[in-house]
Amino acid sequence: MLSRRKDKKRRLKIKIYLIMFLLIIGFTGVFMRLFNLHVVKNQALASRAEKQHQKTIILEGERGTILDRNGKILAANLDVPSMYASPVSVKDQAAASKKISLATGTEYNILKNKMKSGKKSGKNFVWLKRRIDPAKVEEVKGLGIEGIGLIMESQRFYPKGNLLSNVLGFAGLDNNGLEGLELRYDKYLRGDKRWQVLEKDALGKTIFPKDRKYTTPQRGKDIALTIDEVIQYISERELDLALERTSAKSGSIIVMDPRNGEILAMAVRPTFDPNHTDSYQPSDLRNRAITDPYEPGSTLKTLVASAAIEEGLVTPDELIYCENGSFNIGGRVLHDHEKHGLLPFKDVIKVSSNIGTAKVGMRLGEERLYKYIRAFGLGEKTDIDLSGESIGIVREPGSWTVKSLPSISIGQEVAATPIQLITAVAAIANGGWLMRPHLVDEIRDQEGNIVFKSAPEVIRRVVSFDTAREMIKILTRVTERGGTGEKAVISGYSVAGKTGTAQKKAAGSRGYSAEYFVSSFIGFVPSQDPRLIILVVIDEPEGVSWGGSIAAPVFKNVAEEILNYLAIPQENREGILMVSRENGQPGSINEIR
Amino acid sequence: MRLWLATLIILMVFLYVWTHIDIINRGYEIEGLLARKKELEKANKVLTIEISSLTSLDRIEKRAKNELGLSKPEPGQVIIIKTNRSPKGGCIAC
Repeated sequence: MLSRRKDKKRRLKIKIYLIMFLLIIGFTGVFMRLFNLHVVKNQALASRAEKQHQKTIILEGERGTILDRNGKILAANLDVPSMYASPVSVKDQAAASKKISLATGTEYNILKNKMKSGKKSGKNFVWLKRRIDPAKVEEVKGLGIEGIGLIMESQRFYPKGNLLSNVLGFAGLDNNGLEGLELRYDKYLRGDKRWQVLEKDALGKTIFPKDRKYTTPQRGKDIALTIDEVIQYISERELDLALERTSAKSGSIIVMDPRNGEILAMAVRPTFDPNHTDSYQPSDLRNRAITDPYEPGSTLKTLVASAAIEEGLVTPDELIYCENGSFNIGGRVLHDHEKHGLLPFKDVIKVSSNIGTAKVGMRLGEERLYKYIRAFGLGEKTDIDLSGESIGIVREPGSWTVKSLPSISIGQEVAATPIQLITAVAAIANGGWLMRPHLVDEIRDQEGNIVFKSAPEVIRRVVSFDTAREMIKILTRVTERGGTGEKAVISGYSVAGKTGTAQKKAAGSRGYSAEYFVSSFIGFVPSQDPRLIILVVIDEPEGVSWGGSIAAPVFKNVAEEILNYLAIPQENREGILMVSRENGQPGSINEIR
Repeated sequence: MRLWLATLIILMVFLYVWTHIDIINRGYEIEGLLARKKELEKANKVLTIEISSLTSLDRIEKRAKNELGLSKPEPGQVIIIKTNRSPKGGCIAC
């Protein structure tokens, strides 16, 4: 009995020890697992959990909008989908590539190669097609291929097509400015990137982050230009018509407010559509109005005449002998296109006599002519707010030959860009001040606060007010009967201007071509109180090449329509009362006659 | 007394759980509304750019000429007089 009890007790003890042993083993295992999870694998698991419960999204700040002076959109951003692939997750790459190729229009081989090389290098992400055409989005969404997805990306749009494109430039795939204003003002237009961490629940749905401040990415700043869409359109349309009419190689028209240097239009041909830059040559993207210097020809006579009057070397009524159309001066035989004898200096400019102007240039001498040409801004950048501006060509007198003085006096041996020339002549129109030309009126942040506002900037005074007044009278005669700029005259307004017909350098020789010309006209209106100055440059027109025949009519068409659009009152029509009635409403035509 | 205390504690627990669930639900609602707002903003922007594109002067002029038979006024048909009102196009002609 006693032995049975002892035996029972011993077996119970064994059982207890066995359970204790098992418990110890079990707890040791649990403890070791806990140690492993909480100490050894702590960081890796925490990061894995974070990935499962948190979603980090990169929000890219939208690029700022570019507007014209009246708030019309010229460039803006839209979100469009881009397609990506996780190559290791795509089961049948060939079939997937075929489907995507049909839906997006991307070449089959390109898609297949991207996925193949991505899989080979173990990549989890490759772009297949960025910025898909919005019209194809629904078709792409319906493909439902495993391992293929869509991400929204911001894309730049230019809703006006090629209007102002050579000035606006364009932005690249990553929303960075590559040309024109997009490049020059990239630091303002670009938005800031922000990272936002969102929490997900067990089903992967996003939970609003109650403990975190929800921040939106900083949008780029908006830029309002001095450009007027209507004036730009008129200029581009007339330039297109002129190039079509003359079969010219290229051309440009600049419209500026001479009082403050604001550029109202800058039309350049050839041009491009910034929405499809791939289909154009690099030369089409160039803004020739600021990058391409040319010999200005007779339009430079305005600067020579201003310098001579300012220095008191000639008066408008002084008679100059024009040698009946042919004259050897400085070892070079100059010709006028019509024979003239004695002409008052004001008529030397009116008929654009090379001989008469060269004689006045000789009076100025090398140093003074050079000083004035430089003072008018030739040979230096105008500092317009665009990248890639050329300084042109103005050699120092030390390197001039005996022929240089008469040649430069008539606009040869010197080269200026259209923007330099219009800035220089605007100094005559506004009473003697050389102004800095500019395109940006103001820059605003996303709340609409103005962070930059442009103001008229005077570079220097070039000639006195009196000289400028005299010059305006002389240049007004150019568009009167018998002047070379007759075709620039606009009914109801007095126009001041100057024609230019510059021979181009002959290829492969030191002389000038008898075949290729640059025809130009620069004018301002109304001449006594100029609101607009317009430069028209037509490069290599076919047939008749005179600036008065080719460029002056283009000036007339552009200026006439702009004056109408801006409602600038007519000035010299007899019998027209040019003031409103007391209530501010204009009287009827019958009343004002 | 004990019964009252127990009931109060249970009610407070229910209240806590209810508010917690409500906050989560409101979070989903806010998230949904933000997504909707973003969608509407995007649609608005698309329409703005479309308007901008459709009001291109080149397009309007062609339609005015070809479809409506309109033409530019002849010289003399428009007489511009000086008024005290601000002219079109901002301050260019001020």
